[in-house]
Amino acid sequence: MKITFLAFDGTPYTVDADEGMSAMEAAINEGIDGIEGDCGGNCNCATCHVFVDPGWQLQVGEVSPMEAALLADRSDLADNSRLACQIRLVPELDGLVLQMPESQFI
Amino acid sequence: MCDAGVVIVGAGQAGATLATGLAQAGYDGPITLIGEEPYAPYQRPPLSKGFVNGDVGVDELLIKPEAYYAQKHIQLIKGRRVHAIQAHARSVQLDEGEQLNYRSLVLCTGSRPRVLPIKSAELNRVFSLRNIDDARAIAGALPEQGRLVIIGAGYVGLELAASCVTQGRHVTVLERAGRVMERSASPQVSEHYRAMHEAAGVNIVCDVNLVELQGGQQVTAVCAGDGRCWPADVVVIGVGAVANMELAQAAGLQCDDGILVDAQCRSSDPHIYAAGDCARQTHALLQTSLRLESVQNATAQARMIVAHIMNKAPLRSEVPWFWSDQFDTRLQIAGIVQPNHTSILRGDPASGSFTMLHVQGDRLQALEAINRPADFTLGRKLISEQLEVNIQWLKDEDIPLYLRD
Repeated sequence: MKITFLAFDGTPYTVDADEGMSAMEAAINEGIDGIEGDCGGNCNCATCHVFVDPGWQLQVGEVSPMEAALLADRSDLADNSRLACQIRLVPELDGLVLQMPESQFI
Repeated sequence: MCDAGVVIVGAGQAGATLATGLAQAGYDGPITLIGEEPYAPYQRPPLSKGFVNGDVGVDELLIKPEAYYAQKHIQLIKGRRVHAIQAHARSVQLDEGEQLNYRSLVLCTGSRPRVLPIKSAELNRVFSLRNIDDARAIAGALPEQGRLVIIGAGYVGLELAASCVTQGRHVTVLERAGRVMERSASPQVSEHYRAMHEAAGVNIVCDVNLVELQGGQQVTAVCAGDGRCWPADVVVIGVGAVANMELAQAAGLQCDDGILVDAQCRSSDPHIYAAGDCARQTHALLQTSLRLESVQNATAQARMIVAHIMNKAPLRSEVPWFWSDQFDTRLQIAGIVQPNHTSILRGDPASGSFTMLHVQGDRLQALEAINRPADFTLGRKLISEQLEVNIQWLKDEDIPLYLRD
């Protein structure tokens, strides 16, 4: 399946991902800059913050309390904010588009 | 001589974050990352959890895929050590005599397990847990229903105990202090973790003065001065870590239980920085000298150095934070818990979800959140901003720790 990550300047990076992995893992495996994942995808650090493309917001599922708590700490929080480590890639998410915030680019 | 850029000694979390950060920021010279292990930079926290259980493989531990470094023109040198720094000549000497020049040198040499002064510590099947090879050796040596004795009830010891008891091993944890996690946690949190481990079948023994390991070639028991012995198939010693600062000391850098660095992570030599477990820094927010062994500290310090090398605005110090996953319980700590703080309980420990808040005067200084992520993130903000707090409100679970305007 394919996932597209948009850099904050709009540059698209489309990667191949396997069903069952997280969107964070898909980005890390392809070395996408803008997804840090300092805690290794444990929903602990909020360095894999993404904005879900509005067309995909329903399909990516619900935010857990742990994730919501970490997102609440982000200064760039938006209605479509998610942590990429908490988006599990199911077949329906083939083609998913995620935008990465500027703050995750050094 | 070839172009001198940034040379990074140590390819752990700090070294990898620094190398990739410099590449992303467009650093204009060569970036060389030197690690003594045969692996590309990897995450250590899973070693005592999913990795030792076999749930997680080496590829999943990698911070970036190995090919990433070459793509970003980072020269990753694995399995090699730096033997000396010639600070006056701005070069380092690798094993086999090779020299590398630098414009900036960053020491991310990490820490190593503290050696426990105990008789017969050299027996077979006695390990410490710091790297991939240690975790593999422990997993390989431990029979399915085997007896594991862990010396030291810190994070590494307790996480390993949780992982192994869940796998059906017989686990005993022996601790010299009067309670588990004594160095970093409050008494209430220690008590909660002791009870949790005992309920899962871990035998926890505190206040024990160990004197010797027994066995022929292989260890068979761990014994205390009062005559008590605990039979063991495998022993893991986890009694803290010491900074790898010998390279820095030999080069004449100022060190004191860590390589001393300023707010931008610069050492006493203007061309040499240090980051991660090996560095000691006066924390700008907490106004105290700290040497921290955590992922957050390693990445935060690495990013400070990137900002400094790239002539960007200095990064603000973050509140130090840590996490530990044991069984299904997540402990998140922000700030440094000190004995002179006043401790406030928020929530009911019997529910498995509560927070200890540590206050000095009318300011929150530290917190320990057990399965309470909102308290962790909001409380961390309160510590960071050093806002005045009302003790009664902190106790009231219905009031969020921090209210947004």
